[in-house]
Amino acid sequence: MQALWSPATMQNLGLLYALEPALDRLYPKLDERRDAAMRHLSYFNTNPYMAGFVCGFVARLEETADEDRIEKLKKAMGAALAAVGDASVWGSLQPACAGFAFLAAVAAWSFDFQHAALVCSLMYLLLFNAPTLWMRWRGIALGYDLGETLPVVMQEWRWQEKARWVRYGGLACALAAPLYLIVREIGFVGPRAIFPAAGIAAVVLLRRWGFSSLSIYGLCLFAALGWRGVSSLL
Amino acid sequence: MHVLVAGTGAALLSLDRTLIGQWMVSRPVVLGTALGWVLGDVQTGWWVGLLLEAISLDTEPVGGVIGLNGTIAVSVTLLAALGDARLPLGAAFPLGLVFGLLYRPLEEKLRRRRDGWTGLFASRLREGERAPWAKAYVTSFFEEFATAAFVLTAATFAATAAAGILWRAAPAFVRVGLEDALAISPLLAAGTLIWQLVRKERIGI
Repeated sequence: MQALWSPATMQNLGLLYALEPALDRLYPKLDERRDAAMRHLSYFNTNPYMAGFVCGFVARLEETADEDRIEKLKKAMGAALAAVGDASVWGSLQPACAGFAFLAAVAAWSFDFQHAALVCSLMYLLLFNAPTLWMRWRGIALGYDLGETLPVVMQEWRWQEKARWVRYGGLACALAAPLYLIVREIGFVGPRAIFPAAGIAAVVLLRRWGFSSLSIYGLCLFAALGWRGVSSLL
Repeated sequence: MHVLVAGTGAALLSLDRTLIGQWMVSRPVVLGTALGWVLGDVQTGWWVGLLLEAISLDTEPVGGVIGLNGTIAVSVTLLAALGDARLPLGAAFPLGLVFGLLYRPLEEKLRRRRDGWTGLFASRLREGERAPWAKAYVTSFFEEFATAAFVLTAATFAATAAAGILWRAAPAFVRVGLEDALAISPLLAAGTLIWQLVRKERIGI
């Protein structure tokens, strides 16, 4: 879908490539097939993991051959699913997978499991690709079968609530992993445990105030160099 | 030889980032582990990958936004640290970040080059010809691969050598300071990951 992504028209060519078999079947005449292909050269964009739904939906719309309606509904559906996909995948699933993989690796490492790194990577890939491959594959058939009722049905699936719970799960893992490391390495009782916890809290606060991770790294670097520089002079 | 294999593999897997699949094999946590395995230190590869994974989650690839290229960042870091140059990780990590950032204008240029394909497709279709899919896809993949390979080669040899010279010439406090900043990075990664999951506008959806 994104192999020919460009800033001007985004995923238009990817969508056309996916629709081509359907257009070839629906429009045996060259003129009609050419006109159908031409209308999909306009701007189009959606979340790549939700694109299957849009492909199926548009293939269904093409059976009506109403050009204006196809164009309007295609863009509307693309935008709506982009919002769902961005919140679900980029905003929830991806960071949650990173959190879970982190916890899995910490757990494997604490049991002296030599393949902690492999566990981490495989867990990450499995947790991310299982639902997204399902969405991409089943999405085409569902988009076609449900047609214009797709948004209503997706509302019934309660995507937002599911995405929220995925985030909560990821958050629990992301909190548990450093907490476990702090307790294991430093010990829960004592002031030394406060410093890493305070460091993490400081990063969260700085991020909340709009600092990017790179700028926070830059600040840490500046502080570390300054501290060591001053120490070397004294 | 290992460095060559690792660099070529990383350049190929960079295609997964946007062009092919998006199965997350180009993500730093996965690619870092793989590169670490090829270069003989899985633990370091995984650890660096995890750090850069969290940092690169800052920017979501929504619309035309181009953030830090985590694939390039982790590849440069590990090729510098575990390759022939054996640059200390304190120097390799910021070097990787710099290349991850420097790749952004290149990625912008590569994307803009693809703007022309729609016009070509339109003219071919109007003339009654089939759309030139094979040519478009092969060109797009090759350009992306070649750019990544060039950047990784430049980083592995030229930039790493220069960084090595600077590292040896730098005062002791600079070297120790860079190592300190790397030691703090896990806190940065954990904090960034936690923030990504608690952002208010997400919870409010």
